[in-house]
Amino acid sequence: MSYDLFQNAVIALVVAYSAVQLLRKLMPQTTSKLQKFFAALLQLRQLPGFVQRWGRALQPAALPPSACDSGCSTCNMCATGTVTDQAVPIRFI
Amino acid sequence: MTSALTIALVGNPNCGKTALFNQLTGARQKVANYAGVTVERKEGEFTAPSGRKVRVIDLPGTYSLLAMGPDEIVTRDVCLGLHNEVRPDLIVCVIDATNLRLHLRFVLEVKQLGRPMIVALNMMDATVARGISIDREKLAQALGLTVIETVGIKAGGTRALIEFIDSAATPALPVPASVPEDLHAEVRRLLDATVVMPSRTSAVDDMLDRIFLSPLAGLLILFTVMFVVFQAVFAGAAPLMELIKTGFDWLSAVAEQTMPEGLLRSFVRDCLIGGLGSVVVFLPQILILFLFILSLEESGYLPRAAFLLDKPMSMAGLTGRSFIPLLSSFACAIPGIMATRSIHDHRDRMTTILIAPLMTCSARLPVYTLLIGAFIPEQTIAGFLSFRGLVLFALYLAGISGGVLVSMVITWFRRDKTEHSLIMELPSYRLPNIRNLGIGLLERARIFLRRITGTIFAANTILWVLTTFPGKPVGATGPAIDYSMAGIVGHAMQVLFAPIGFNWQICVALIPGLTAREVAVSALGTVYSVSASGNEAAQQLGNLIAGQWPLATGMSLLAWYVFAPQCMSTLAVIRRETGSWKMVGITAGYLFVLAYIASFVAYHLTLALT
Repeated sequence: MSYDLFQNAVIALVVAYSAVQLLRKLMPQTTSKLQKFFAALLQLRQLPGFVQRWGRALQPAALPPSACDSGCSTCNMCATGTVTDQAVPIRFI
Repeated sequence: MTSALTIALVGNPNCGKTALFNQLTGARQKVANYAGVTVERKEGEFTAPSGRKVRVIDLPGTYSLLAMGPDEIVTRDVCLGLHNEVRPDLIVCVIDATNLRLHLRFVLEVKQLGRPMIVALNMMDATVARGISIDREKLAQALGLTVIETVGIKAGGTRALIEFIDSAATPALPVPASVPEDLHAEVRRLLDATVVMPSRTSAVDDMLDRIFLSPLAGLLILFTVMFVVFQAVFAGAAPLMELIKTGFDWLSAVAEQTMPEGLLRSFVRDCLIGGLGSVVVFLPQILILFLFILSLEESGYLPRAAFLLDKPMSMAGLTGRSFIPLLSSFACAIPGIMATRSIHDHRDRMTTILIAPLMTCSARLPVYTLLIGAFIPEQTIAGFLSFRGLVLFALYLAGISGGVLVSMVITWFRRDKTEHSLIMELPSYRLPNIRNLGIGLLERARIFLRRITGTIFAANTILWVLTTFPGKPVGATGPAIDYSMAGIVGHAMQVLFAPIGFNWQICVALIPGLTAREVAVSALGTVYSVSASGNEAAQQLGNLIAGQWPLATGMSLLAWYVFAPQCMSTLAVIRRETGSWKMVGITAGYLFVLAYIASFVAYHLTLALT
């Protein structure tokens, strides 16, 4: 593979990733709806199993309800993710 | 294994509910030593030693279930199971053990609901320090409720609470008792029977309040504190910033020498190093600013500042209650706007939301610092005051003055001119905990870097594409960037911005800057890096713009950033909090007009004077 092809592929991937990230930031609800639509499309029963698995993986996580919970990550005041799941039982020393 | 349990933490503001929530769930929600930090419900989970799953709901503080503001309504709805809220299995009523006179009234009110509840006697460490003695057994007996001692800010401070939750198969309902008519009288009776206090207030608090709340000395101290913060931001960060700059220069040289010429090298050099690197250098300044903000938040000084500023703020049509939301806006306008939920008067709330974007958020700091570093000479006044620090302080004051002016105009236009008096709880002073400060600063650094590798990286990559493609046509004589998409858009926008001295590069940087203000810096870095030739490419962005822009343009851009509505997220939060596109339009419109006028004045004034 020539270097030109390699660098074009890398740039294309980075640009595609950046475009998705920006769309998610600027239009969270629209991108979530789109993602849901494509996820549902890929999960059609007629499609092979591995495609359906992709569909399940593509299914967006439910958007938290409001405000700092929306995951805007613009500021610090929301700190880390709100919903925490401490699966390991608390142990007293 | 016993069944899963949902518990809700309720109580008066600033009694330590969120600190307990963090201890229980391992979350890192914001805590501070003043009322009104939590304005929405937060949820988390933990697994008790028996393996029992416990879902914890942290609710905004309220003085009564007769809710008045949007934050209090959330708490009321959860406690009463209104509006499709699922009632918690257990209400944990958190109370500040040093201020039982105030907090026990709410316990009695919640008890009237007849729901399973317990009382968490929080801040027991402070109670011991003040020599307050509480007969917990007797208090539990008198209330007919289980009372558990907790320390929300210490590891292990929730042990007794967790053990109780873990052991109770089904939380007991409170013992039915006749509800006293006068809750205050009942509180006094309970205090007489169960609590021994050496004095009603802390002697240290009283002494400090005499100084900090003094009308003259207090204001002077407040002004000095703010002044010191901005001096420190400039003076303290310089060595670390220089180190980061040197690191990026080295990286740039390595990329230049080791990578073959082509798109990838241009991306790494112009977008990653030239663009993102120009923002990373501001990390030390951001951290110094937050070191002060976090220390002040923990100390309990901020509500005092709100009290001091109530009079001047009321003259501008605001109340002291607006102080905390406006102060939060210095970190970021988004939590500031959300914190207005604690302002119960709709009119005051809308005014505060309108002016919150004028408070200088931390995202403006890189823009200010870049321009100040480029155009303001590094000199000291009176031998120790940094001139650049003074300019930064002046920019912050300009934002505050702008907010005050806008509020005065709103007051002038509105029909209802009644003033609302400020009633605010002043918490005890507390020495900032070094560990908490460290965690807070690490969190800030993590979030700043996450912004750089997330939003800023994405916006900058797209901008790099727009500045690189399409390439220079065959036979074209100008620089390649002039023929790129960004170049074409920038030149088109320049028609609108030429009267305020903006060149096309600035116009291009303004567009991605809408996603986050700091992006403007990385965008300028990328635009100048792409268009640079020979020696220019190796220069720092600050040196480049200092050499290419007239002073008037620098001053104009500074004025622009004091007022401009350069943040989409802020506008989105205004829409969500007000439920009105009209408010979004008004905010964006007036900020744009203000920014344009300020830049126009700054540009032409500087041109006339130089």
